[in-house]
Amino acid sequence: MRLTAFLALVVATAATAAASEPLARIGPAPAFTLTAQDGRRVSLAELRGKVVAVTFIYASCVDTCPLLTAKMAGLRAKLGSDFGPRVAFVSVTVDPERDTPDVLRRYADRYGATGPGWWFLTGSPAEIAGVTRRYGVFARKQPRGDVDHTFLTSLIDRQGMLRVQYLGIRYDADEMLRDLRSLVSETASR
Amino acid sequence: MNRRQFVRGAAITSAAAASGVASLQAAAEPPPETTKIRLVRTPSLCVAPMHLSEPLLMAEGFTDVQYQKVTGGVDVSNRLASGDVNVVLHFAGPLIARIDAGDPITVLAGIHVGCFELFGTDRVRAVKDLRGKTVAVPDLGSGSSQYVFLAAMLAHVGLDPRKDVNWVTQPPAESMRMLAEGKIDAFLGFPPEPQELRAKKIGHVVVSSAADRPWSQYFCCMVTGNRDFVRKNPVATKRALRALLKSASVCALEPERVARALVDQGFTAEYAYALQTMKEIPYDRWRVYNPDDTLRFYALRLHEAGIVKKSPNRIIADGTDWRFLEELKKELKA
Repeated sequence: MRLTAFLALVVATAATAAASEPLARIGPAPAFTLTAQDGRRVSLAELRGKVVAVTFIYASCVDTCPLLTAKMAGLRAKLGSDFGPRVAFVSVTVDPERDTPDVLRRYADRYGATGPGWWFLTGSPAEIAGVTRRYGVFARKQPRGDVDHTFLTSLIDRQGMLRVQYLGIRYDADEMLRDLRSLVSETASR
Repeated sequence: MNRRQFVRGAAITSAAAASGVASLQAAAEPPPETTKIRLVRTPSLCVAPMHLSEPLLMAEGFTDVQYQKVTGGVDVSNRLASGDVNVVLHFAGPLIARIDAGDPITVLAGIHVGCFELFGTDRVRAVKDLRGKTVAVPDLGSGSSQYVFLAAMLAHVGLDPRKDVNWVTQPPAESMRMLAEGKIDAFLGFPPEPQELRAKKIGHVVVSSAADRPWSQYFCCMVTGNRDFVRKNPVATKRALRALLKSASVCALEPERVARALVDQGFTAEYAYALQTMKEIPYDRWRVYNPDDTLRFYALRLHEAGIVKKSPNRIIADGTDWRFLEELKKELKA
């Protein structure tokens, strides 16, 4: 085999291996128990067995949060029948003073996030501050009432292990879809 | 994946296996070996990812995050080498000089390109015009970021920094005043100095390391740890690097918020300068640019300038560990 052909084969094999490489196991996802849009208390531990995507938003946000939630809604559609039984979304508010369960329910309705599989969570300011801190999200209320916060989406596997984090909202949705599916298939095969 | 990356990846894997160092990815990451970490607080805005990293470091399990106030680049290098501080964000040039000198430091990742801008009077239109001119820097020597960067630029156009330029050493504020009065010919500034000079229309930009090749193709500031800290605390090192990379991404994604924080925390009184800095410096390239290339490029320039003696390969072998970065590239997406 000529050297260039050999190198091409080696590189192609390595690239394929990299593409199919399992996601890293960063560590146990920080636990939380918060109040959902239907008033129930929901904990991350209850979602064990599902792949979970955790995001941070607030309902009165007019610029970036709606883009993120819409992006997640698009992903939910692409996940098809995996969404709900095998994949769950959790959107945690960073504005607990204003985002009551009712407010979050209306927000969820705007994105068609009704039915099982997508939880919009609130809690006391101390509870929310604890969750944002443990996930590494900045959130600070501004004098005019807006909340300055960073966007971080964390994917958690069915064993509750944090596997990958997406920064911002301009991430490649197809890549996240692949990661979600890989976590579903990875755990389903065990 | 190109051949170099493949070969390097294979080399890292082999080296890790040979030394018995398991990949940190292989299992869930344990807590950091130490919950205390010391960084530096400098006047420069370009290292905002370090200045604003405390909450992210706390989220990584550090409970005691200390920032030691330093006066300049020389102080940063000294404290890192001595172990007074554990991890810093600092310009590649002086780091290479310290590795060359045998100091125990380990470069972990590049963060961003494009801190520095060279300003000149009308007598200086290009770097080669600096021959015989008067150039101001805060310090002379291999520990000074300004001097090292200028030495690299001079060497790149065939000038000898040891004899072709008249150096004066003085604080940046004094240099900016003298540049405005035409008493010096050139001054290399780092944020917020370039923003202030441009706003006041003092001199003109001769080289912008954010826009002008080849400088714009290589990292400026790199995350670097004290070698003993990195060796003894690999999990803490990886967690600290993760926090700093996330912080860099925040600078890229939310420049307004970061600029406000820099003002609130007293790094500058001028929101406009802070915002310009955040928007002009590409903080989103840490996964794109190759830190090896940066060290190789600057090591060659500094060798030409008579500042370092070792070969680029020796510098890289003695003073880098990309294992953490390679793992974090897979864990953090954007």
